[in-house]
Amino acid sequence: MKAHKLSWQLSLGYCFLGILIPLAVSFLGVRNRLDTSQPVQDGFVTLDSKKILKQTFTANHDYINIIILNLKNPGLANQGEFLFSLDSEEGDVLAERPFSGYNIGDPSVVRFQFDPIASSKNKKFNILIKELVPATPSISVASSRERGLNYLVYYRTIDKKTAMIDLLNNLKRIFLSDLIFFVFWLFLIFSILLTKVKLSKRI
Amino acid sequence: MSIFVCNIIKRKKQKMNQLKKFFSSTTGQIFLAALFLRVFLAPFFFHTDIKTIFYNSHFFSEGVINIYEFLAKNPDKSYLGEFPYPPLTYIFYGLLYFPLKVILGPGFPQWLAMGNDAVAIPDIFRYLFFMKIPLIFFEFLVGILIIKLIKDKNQAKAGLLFWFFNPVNIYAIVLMGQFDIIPTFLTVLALFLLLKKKKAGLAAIALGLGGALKSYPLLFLPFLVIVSSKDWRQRIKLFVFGLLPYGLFVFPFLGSVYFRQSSFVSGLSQRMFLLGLNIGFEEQILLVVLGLTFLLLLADWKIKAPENLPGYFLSLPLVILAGSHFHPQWLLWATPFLALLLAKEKKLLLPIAILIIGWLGTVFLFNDKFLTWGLISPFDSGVFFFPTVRELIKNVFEPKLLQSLFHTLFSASALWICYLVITHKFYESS
Repeated sequence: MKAHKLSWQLSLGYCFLGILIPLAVSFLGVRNRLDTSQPVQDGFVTLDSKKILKQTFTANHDYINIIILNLKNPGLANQGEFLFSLDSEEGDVLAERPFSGYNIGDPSVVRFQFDPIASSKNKKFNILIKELVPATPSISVASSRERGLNYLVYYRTIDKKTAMIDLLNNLKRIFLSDLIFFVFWLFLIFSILLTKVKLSKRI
Repeated sequence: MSIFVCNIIKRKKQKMNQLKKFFSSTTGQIFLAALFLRVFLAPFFFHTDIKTIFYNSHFFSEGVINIYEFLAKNPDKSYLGEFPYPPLTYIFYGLLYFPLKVILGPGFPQWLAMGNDAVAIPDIFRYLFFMKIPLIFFEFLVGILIIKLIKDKNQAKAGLLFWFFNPVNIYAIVLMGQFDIIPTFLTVLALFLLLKKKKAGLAAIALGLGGALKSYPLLFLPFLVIVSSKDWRQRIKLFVFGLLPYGLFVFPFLGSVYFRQSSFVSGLSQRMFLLGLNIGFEEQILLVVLGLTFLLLLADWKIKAPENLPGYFLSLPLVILAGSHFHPQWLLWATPFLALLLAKEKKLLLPIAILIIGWLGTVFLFNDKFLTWGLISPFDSGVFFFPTVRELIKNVFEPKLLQSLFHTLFSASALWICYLVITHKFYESS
């Protein structure tokens, strides 16, 4: 086989794998998908005994079951006890998880998992973090001055049909999340392909 | 004025025609296919190392010169880990940060300061793409050097095909974004300067510069010195030339205890000394060091001309990787020389295939999900909840044994390739 043809076959083969593997892993393997998040972080807010840290979010899907917070406890210095709770908009406690300063790194992603909440879609929830047993120095939670605490909310996919719809929605979200970049990226991709089509005829 | 403008237009047309001519050739099409693959995949795959190195180096823009001391004295800023590379790497990435910050906007430094799992952010795809562009540029430079190092056109195409489409390059550069490609480029440049330009001094300087980015190219220096001259004064001069760029960047930091702790005790220097034969009385024969010394003495004994130097440049990283718990990107140190070798002798496809299978198996069985599922996390961050491949298979097969099997396959084929390149004259007609 001619070298230039082989190079394009290899290139397209790798690209195919590069699409297929993430799609297959996401569709067949991933159970907990991202529901909503506040990823922006420009500092940390400290949690002391007088404070309760609160963050409100609206779920986009049913069956939310995991909340991830970015907490910081340098050198495991704080060995106090804390409480994570998830409340409904009306103030009902839906999930509570006590945790220790021992569970927090510098910083570390701390996962709070609970039974999936069946009809969570379009409902508001409050994340609350408070200190149960005071200790010093205080732990802190990653946050943005404008958008509040840094958090990720995941939901449980219940069947393959929903998984497929969610997968397609995720693809749409990826491309729409940074449209300018993806237009530029597609322009590059098509420019290279166009050059290939135009000039490979001369070989 | 109009003549001046006409000349510019004429020159531009000439350049365009040259480019068209290049991309109409088989070699140009290989470059184009390689570019397509890299542009296509680069935005979607993430590894924490690329973020960490940019995060630590961004302090250069804040006027921090001794990053080792700064991170040690400011533990609140060192949460992504210490900076383990030599100072030139810090300066290089620190300088690269300036244009990237302009292109990528204010969200970029914010993202760098986030934890390693911060993949669910809207602009991550552009960050990953632009952070990998300089690495891809160096990969293409190596491609150009490979063409220049191989006389026969068909062999050059075969070498180029292997260089651009082997799984090691795609995994370590396109998916992970490892900067090892830059010192790798400098080792190939050293070879090119010595073999094609007959400039041993410049070749030694290139290795020294590579060593100032990541220490391993310094190990190539004694080989280059030995084959370049038989005159001991000339050899010492070349050795000094090689150490000069390294010393230039490292010397100002030698007084810093933090630098010595972070950079001198690197992964390479620790892991190279682990494999040993116990000879009693708390003494060991260090097998990797033994292998490297043996190679050096062999080079001194056997090599009459520099043409077989690529064989030694290939054997050196293979001996290190065969006998130590390596990082995935370390195999990049050898891939350009494997490309030169495979271009010459197709029969070596089998040992090289076994080598790469052994490497893949070893890497996938590391207990680190960022090396497997984590790579596709920008696509779906739900993969962070997956167990590692090692944890997944433990009910079916003992993962330590399986990984050891893969590493053994790797080591056997690596040593076989070393034997072949030293006993045969594959490179001499290049």
